[in-house]
This record gives sequence, structure tokens and C-alpha cells, in this order.
Amino acid sequence: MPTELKLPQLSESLQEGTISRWYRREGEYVAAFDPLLEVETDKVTTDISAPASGTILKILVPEGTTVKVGTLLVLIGPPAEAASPPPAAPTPADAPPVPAPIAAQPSLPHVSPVAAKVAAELGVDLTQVRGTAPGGRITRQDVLDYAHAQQSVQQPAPPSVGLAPISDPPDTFDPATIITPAVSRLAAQHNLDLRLLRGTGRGGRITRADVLAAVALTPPAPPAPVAVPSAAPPPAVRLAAGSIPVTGMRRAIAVHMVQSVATSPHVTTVMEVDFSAVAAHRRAQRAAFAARGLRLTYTAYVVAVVAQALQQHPLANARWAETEIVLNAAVHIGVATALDTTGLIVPVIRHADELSLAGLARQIEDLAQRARAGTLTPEDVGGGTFTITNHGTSGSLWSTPIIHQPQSAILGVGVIEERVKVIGGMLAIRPMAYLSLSFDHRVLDGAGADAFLASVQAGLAGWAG
Amino acid sequence: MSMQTDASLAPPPANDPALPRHRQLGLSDEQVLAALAGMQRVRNVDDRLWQLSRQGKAHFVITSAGHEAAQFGCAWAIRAGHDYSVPYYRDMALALALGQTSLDLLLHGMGKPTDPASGGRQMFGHFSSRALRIVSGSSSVGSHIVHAVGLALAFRITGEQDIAAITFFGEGATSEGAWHEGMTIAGVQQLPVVFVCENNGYAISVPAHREVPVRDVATKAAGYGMPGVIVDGTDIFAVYAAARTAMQRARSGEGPTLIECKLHRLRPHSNADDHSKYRPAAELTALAQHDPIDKLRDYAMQHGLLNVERWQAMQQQLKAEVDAATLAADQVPNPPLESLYDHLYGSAAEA
Amino acid sequence: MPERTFLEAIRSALIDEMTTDQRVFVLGQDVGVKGGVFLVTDGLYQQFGACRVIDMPIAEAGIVGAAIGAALHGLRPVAEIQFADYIQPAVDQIINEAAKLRYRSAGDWTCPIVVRAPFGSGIHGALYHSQSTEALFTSTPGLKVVIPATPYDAKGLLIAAIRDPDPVVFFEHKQLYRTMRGEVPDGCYTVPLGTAAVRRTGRQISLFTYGLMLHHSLTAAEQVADEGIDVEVVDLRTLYPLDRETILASVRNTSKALIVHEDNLTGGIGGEISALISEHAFEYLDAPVRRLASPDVPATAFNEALEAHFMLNADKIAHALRELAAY
Repeated sequence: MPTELKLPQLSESLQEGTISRWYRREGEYVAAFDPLLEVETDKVTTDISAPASGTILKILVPEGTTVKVGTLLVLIGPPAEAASPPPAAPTPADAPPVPAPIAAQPSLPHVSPVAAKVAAELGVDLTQVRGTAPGGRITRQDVLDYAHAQQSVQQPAPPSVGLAPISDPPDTFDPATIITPAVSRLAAQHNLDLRLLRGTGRGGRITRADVLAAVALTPPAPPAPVAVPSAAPPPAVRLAAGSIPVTGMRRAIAVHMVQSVATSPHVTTVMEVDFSAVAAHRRAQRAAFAARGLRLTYTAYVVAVVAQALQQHPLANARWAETEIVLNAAVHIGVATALDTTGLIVPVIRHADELSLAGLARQIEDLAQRARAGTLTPEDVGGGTFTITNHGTSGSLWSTPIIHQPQSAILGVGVIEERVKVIGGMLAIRPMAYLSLSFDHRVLDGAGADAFLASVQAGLAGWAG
Repeated sequence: MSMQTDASLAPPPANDPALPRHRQLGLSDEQVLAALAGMQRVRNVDDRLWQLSRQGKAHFVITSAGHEAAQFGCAWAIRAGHDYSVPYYRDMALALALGQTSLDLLLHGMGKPTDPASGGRQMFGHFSSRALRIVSGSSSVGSHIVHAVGLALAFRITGEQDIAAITFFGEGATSEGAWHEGMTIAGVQQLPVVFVCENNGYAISVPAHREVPVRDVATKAAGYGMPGVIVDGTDIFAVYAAARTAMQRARSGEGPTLIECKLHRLRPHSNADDHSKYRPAAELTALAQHDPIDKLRDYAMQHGLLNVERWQAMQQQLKAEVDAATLAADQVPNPPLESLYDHLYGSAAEA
Repeated sequence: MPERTFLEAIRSALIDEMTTDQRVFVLGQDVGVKGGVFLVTDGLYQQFGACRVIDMPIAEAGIVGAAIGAALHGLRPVAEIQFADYIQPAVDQIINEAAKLRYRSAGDWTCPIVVRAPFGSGIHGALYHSQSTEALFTSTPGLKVVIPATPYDAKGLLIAAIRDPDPVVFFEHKQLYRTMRGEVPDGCYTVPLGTAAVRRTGRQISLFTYGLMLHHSLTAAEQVADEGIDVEVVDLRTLYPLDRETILASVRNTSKALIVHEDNLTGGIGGEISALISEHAFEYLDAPVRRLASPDVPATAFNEALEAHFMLNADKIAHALRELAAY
């Protein structure tokens, strides 16, 4: 009797998920508790482990398909004798030898810098190229083979194809087409379409920081409305004629954005804030925090001040419910935060108003660490009542952020940089930043929103610990 | 028939000039016969290694044929396991004289994991045994001289008395910088060390007159503040007399000595060499007259220590011994491949 | 804790270890009555006598070879080569003899010696009193190559080197001898060989260096920190065997790597580290691995202007960091 695995309820609000990756193929052996597949929801991407040891008899939902909670995903047969795969299972003829049942590492499609370069030179859309290297990585040869096949079909025997030199000096690379291994790896990990990014590196190169910022700035979307099968494409290199398959995440973002803009009349108000006091306090306290194992970031200060201001201005911590305005009792602040290596998350700091600066720093650090360890739960990224987005990390001065429904406002923090200010008739150089507050005009009016923003501004400028 | 450049180094006067030479030196008949057997044993191993090299079972052979008397003569003056011996690649006979066995040498020659010199790591000719205080060397010619000097320096630092180091090299090594540096340090500090040059007249193919600017290597000693002695290296008793005196000088704090043993290389430098290409035919024909084993055998027969029957029996027994040792060595399996990484670094615990 | 110069820290290591362990002795040119040309061994001759503080002839192979011989008898020699430029005549002894004794005798013999040598430019030493010769030894299994950067490490690493059961080549940067001061405890302590030290944590660029260049690198990291470039500085301390785990962990965290050394660019340890990173952390890279090293000329020139041009400094390192940050 085969063991069945159905899509579990990954969080309370979850209705469906997209199967983004199978780590095992039909006919392969899987050990209980080994990662078996990756499921992507609008909130998290998470691994699901095998419920039992055995051979994968049938995969019922292919990669890229979105299905409802409870859908049967896979059938697993009786465990094999010893560690070898049982031959009885419906093994496809081309199934590779089954590895020992050790924990599988998700292998992600990468593209090497030179493959990206060759693709750009030949006008090859990398999303159309099948990677042959381990983990589906696209090699230079894959690009050449693809280009050759295309040109064979379209125009007979072009002499140039396949003859691209291997060791071009780096300056022949168009910087904008360079995809470094780190960028490729992160983009694949987060299913991010690199064509949608504008690079801030040398010559417009997309940097690792650009990728991290892009993922950080992607607002958490509401439950995806429809199940749309879509293949997860490998990262593309540059704009090329043709179509781009829409990923589950992309669609969720699109739907959410349209819905939010259509639902809430957005108004954005901007104020400038002097970060001198915060910077001084941070300088003074950083070592002491570090001694306690805490990393003191500007984010902690912003969260602390916003949490206090929300209590004074409950309409900024509310939601429109047609017949009434619901004031949220708790202050749960979502923060889009980039992480060091593993990518980024949008963790929600629960009861942020009840936490000290150290508590906030610890909470932020804890969420970051658990994100790195891959132990975040869907609950960690849901239930926010207000959102902060650090668009300044990509150099942005101010923005018009779109509200994370059903919240009533979102605060954007621009880049903190030294600017000349006139203070008491004197020129002074101060670390300044713009705060951009987008608010739902159904809930808040301009004066109320400005009052809230002014509270935040005052709290930061007058930070006294 | 020793030739001294320093009269003070003459062997102790014979108690009775009528006595055979070995008796004059205090050696018993049994010691002489044991040395003869040992020299023949080494020659048999030498022969066997050449055979094995042609079977592809020993990949490198370097001969000690012609040097046996010099090495056995010195070995009589060395207390193995107490004094340190720092040999060079030609010293197979010395290794055996100091206590290694035919099997040890064959295991070394066949690169077996149980090779006591190196566990199958070094090519043949790098004899070593810490228990016998035979120091492991590299293939860099002359670089081991300074190790003997350093050992002697260590005795000076620890204040140990009645101990000496002795090192061996060909005349070719006396052109090396490390040899010069070692001789200099030993001379400056007057260290308890003995330098033995086994001068066979060739540095592989280059004859002595093209590599040594003086007729006798022993005369170089004067430049380093130590006596130099010339002996007939095919005469085991002459070598012993000189080595015994030099070791006693060293052990009693009188400083270093350079001994030059003049002898003949009976075979090509190694199994990869053909000496008919560079040695005159007449010289090659005459080599048979300089075989130190023949010399000692004739001496033993002349003095009634040995007769033809006993010599033949001895040879048969030695042949059976080397056959058995060959069989035993050949049966030793190769080491596990992971052992390639063994003995690279020590553990903190051993410090 | 008493403060000592880098030079005093090394002397303190020698005195403490010679007092603790009768097997330890020093030998080299001018190390005795004069106390060494840099005075590292000043006073040792008076304290321990001519038998354990041995003035040697100008014979580098002889000095190292004699150390090897003494080690075979169980002593713990510390040989001084007056300048790293003159270690070349002893290379056969270090690489062919010391490094291979344990291996070639299948563990029967061991060779616990230390060869100390002052290296590096910046004291108007021209071609033959300035060289960085560590790369001669960083491809030699059986050997350990140690280069301290701080007084504390200089003492702790030297004592660890003396106590190590294998041969250690110990390079001391001449410019640090009197310019670098720091807290150095009295008495014996060790800093483990084979482990790098993260001297400054950072998130954007990993900078790997050692010796004098550590201090220039830390200065450079502070310079660019104000511009928002967050640099992690790793002091390698032992160049062979390399602390691969620390190197790879750092670069996986930052995604960019700069290697800084005073040794020549070509064939320096930077190439090895770069290869290590590309083999084991390729997919974490967000920029090509960069090396900043002395130019490929024999050594610094005697002429002051040329010497200054040859030398790396904090500004040059900061420039390289900015370039790498902007990639």
C-alpha cells in the first residue's frame, strides 16, 4: 500500500501552493525525512520532507503547477531492501542511478558568467535553454548548442556559431550582461527574473545587493487567486524579443498590486528626518549590543519609533472594512530585510510596541538567523498590521510604496546620506533620509497621516534612547 | 697497509708483529668470518636486486660492490644504536653491518610497506633505522653531512660524553656547498664527528681528476682544521684501524677527522647506467683485482680461518638465505592507498 | 599585562621557552654576543651561555642542517637566518631534508625545528634585505609556514612553533619589529598554528592578508567604512597549511575577495587562495577574486621614490577595495 503525500496546510490562511521543485524523480529512492519537494506560496518557499522511506512510484503534480491544499502530490512505495533502490517500481528507462539515501540538497539552475555572456552575444534567451550540467546549470556549451540548433532551423550553417572564444578578456563583456555566480545562484533561489532588475553595479551590472534588495522590496502578496501552471524559468540575461513565462510569485505580485491600487485610494506624503541622534546612539551602543550578540541596525530604531507612533495614531494601524474601520489592537510590523547570504525575508515582528530596542534587535536577529537556517514558518511572515520597506538600500531617495492590503499604510525609508542642512542660520552636514508614507485615504486624511509621519520623524530626530 | 698523512693517527702498535693483522687489532677469528659472510651477503642482495630490477620488481638499484670492506671496517668502530651513522646511497653494506638484514634491504629495494627505511616511500639506497641510529637521508648529494655535524653539536649542548657521529659520502660530494659548510662548522667547533669519504674515482661518469682539484681528498681536511687520513678502502683492517682511531678522538673530545678510503666501484653507478661508455676497457678488466671480498677471503684462508669447503658451504647458505628473503619480501602486499597521506605531520601529543 | 614591541615579544618567547625547556637552543649568524643584527636575541647569550646561543659561520645550509641534526637527537633548535633574502642557500635543507624527514622515514624520524627569518621591505633594504620569500615554502607538504602580525601572536605562535613536532618556517616582518606594540603576557602561552584570525568583521568584501599588510589593510578598511564599504579582514597567520575553512566561510558570507600581500603577485599565496575560492565558493562570487601584491620585480629598489612606489600601503589597498566594491 503506497504512502500518499498531500499538500499540507502550511499556514492558517494558506489555500494553495505551487510545486516549484521535485528533488527526486519517479523511480528514485527517498528516505523518510529527506527533502522531497519545494512548495512556493505567496508567503514562503519551503521544503516538504518525505513522509516515509521508499521508491517514488508516481508524481501526480508536475513542477510549476499550483494546487489546492489537500491535493494528492505523490505516491511512495514500500521501502527497498537495504539501501539499494527496488527494481519493482515503475522506473523510467532513463532514470539515473539512485544515490544513497542521504539528505538531498536542492540543486538550483545556475548560469556561469561566460554562458551568460555568450547568450547575450548570440541573442539567446536563456529561459529557452535546457541546462545539462548537474542541477540543471546552463553551461556555455548548452548555449552554443541551443544557438546552433536554432540557427540550423532558421538559416543554414552559420559559420560563427560555436566558435566563440573561450577566454575573451573581461573588458569585452558588456557589464550589463554579466551575471556573476552569486547573482545567478540567488536569483534561482528566489525565482527572480533578472530581466526585471536594473543593475547598480559598474556599467549597470546586476549586483548581489541588487538581487537581495529586489527580493526585499517585493511586498508580501495575498493568497494567490488562481492556480496557474507555470514553469520556473532560469534567470534571463537581457531584454530580448519574445515572451516571458509568468511565475507564480510574479503573478501573485501583479494581482496584489492591481488589487491594492484598485482598492485603496493611495496618497503618498514625504518628510525628511535627521538621523544624527540615532547614528550617535548607534555608534555608542553598537559595541555593547555586539557584546550581547546583537547587531544594532537602523531598522531597529525605525521599527521602535513606528511602533510607538502607531499607538498615538491608531488609524495608521487599522483597516477599512466598508461598514467600519477596524482598529488593530496589536502592533505587528513587517519589515522587508535583506540577509547576508541566503537571500531575504519579510519577517513580521509581533507586538513590536512591547519590545525594547534590544528586544527588537534580538527579534530581527533571531528572524534573520532562522531564515538563514531555513527554519522560518509561514506564521513568521504573515499577520502584519503595518509594513516598513527599506528602499534606501538600493540608493532610492523616496518612493510611493503600495500598501500591503488590508493594512492602511506603508512606510518607505530612503537612503541615509549626508546632506547640507541649514540649522540656526548655519550650514551643517547631517545624515538625512526621506520617509515616504503611502496611506489609504479612506482610512486616513492628509493631516492625520502627516501627524503620524511627523511623530515618526520626531521620534527619530529626537532619539534619546 | 694504511697510509697516514698524520703520523699520530697510526694504529696502536702490534703487541706481537708475528700475529695476524686482525689479532693485532684485537679482532677475533669469528669477527673476521662474520664480516666476510656479511660482505658476501650484501653482494648477494646486490646481485638479487639487479635481477629483480630486470623483472620489474625493483625499480632502482645502486650498488655497493667494491665498497664492502670500507663500510664493514667502519662498522667495527661504530656502536650501532649509540653512535649515529649518517650514510649515503652507496652504504648498503654499512646498513647490513650495523644490524639490518637481507630481508630489510630487499623490502627497501622492492618498495614494500614494511621497508624499515621508509615504508616504501624512498627509492633504494636511502637506508634508515632510528633504533640503529642510522639517519634517513635525501637524494641531494652532500646535504646529509651537516646533519652529522648537527648531531655532534647536540652532544656538545647536552654535555653527553663518549658518543660520536660518523657520516659517509663519495668524493663527488666534496664539491658540494653543504659539505664545505659542514666541514667548516665541525672544524670551528671541533665537534665529535668523523667524515668518511669512499673515493671510488667516479661521480657517476665524471672521473676524480675532473671533480676533485687535489689528488687526495684527505688533504682538504687541512682547510677545516682537522686531520685527514688516507687508507686503502679495500683493506678492511686498514679502514678499521683508521675509523677506530678517529671515533676515539671524537668521543674523547679531540675533534673531527676526515678519512679517505680509496677503493673501486665494481659495477655501474646504478641499474640505469652503463659504465663501459666512460671507463676504459683495461680499467674494467682490472676491477676483479680490487674486489674486497676476494681480498678478505684470501686473507682468511691464508691464516687458516677458512678453507675451500667451508667457503662453499658459506656461500650456499647465503644464497639460500637471500632466496628465502626474496620470497618473503615479494609476498608482502602493497600498502593501502590511503597510506599515501600518512606521516605528513605529527600530532600535538607527540610534542 | 605588559606592553611589548613585536621584537620584544619574539625575544620574550625565546627566553621563556628556553627557560622552560632545556632542549631549546638558538643558532645563527651574530645571534650570540651581538644579540642578532636586529637585537632579537639580545641578552640571551649572557643568560643561557655560548652552548645554547650559538654564533655560526656564514653558512645558511650549515645552520639549518645543523639544526636538523640536533633535532634528530631530540633537541628543539631555533635557527635564525639573518635576512629572508639569504634563506635561499638553505632551501635544500628546509624543503628536501626537514620537510620530508618524517614522511620519508614513515614516521621513524621527526624534525621539530624552527627557522626564523626577518623579511619585508620598507627599511631601505634594497634588493637583498627586503624580499618576501614565503612563497618558496608554501607548496611544501611537511612544512608549516607562519607569519605573525601582532606582538601577542608573535610570541604565542613562536612558542607553538617551537613545540610543534614538525619543521616551521617563521617569518617576521622587519617593519613591525619596533613600530608595533601591544599587550604580551609574561610566561609561556601558545597561539595555534594553522588557524586564521578574523580581525574585523564585515559583510561586503573579504580581505585576506598577513604580516605588516594586516595593519595597512585594517587602516584601509576603516577608510572605506565611512563610504559604506563593509570589509572583513582576515589575518591568515599560517600560510601553509592554509585555514581553508575560515577563508571559505568568510567569502561565502561576503561574495567578494581581495588578497593583499607584499610578496610578488605571480606565484604568491594570493593565487592559491584565489584558486581555493574559485574551486569551493564559485557560486557565491559576486565579482572576480582580486589580488593586490607587490609588482613582479625582484624586490624594492634602494632609491627612496622607487621604494615608496613599490610598497603597498593603506591608500593602495583602499583603492582596490573601492574598485571591488564598485564592481
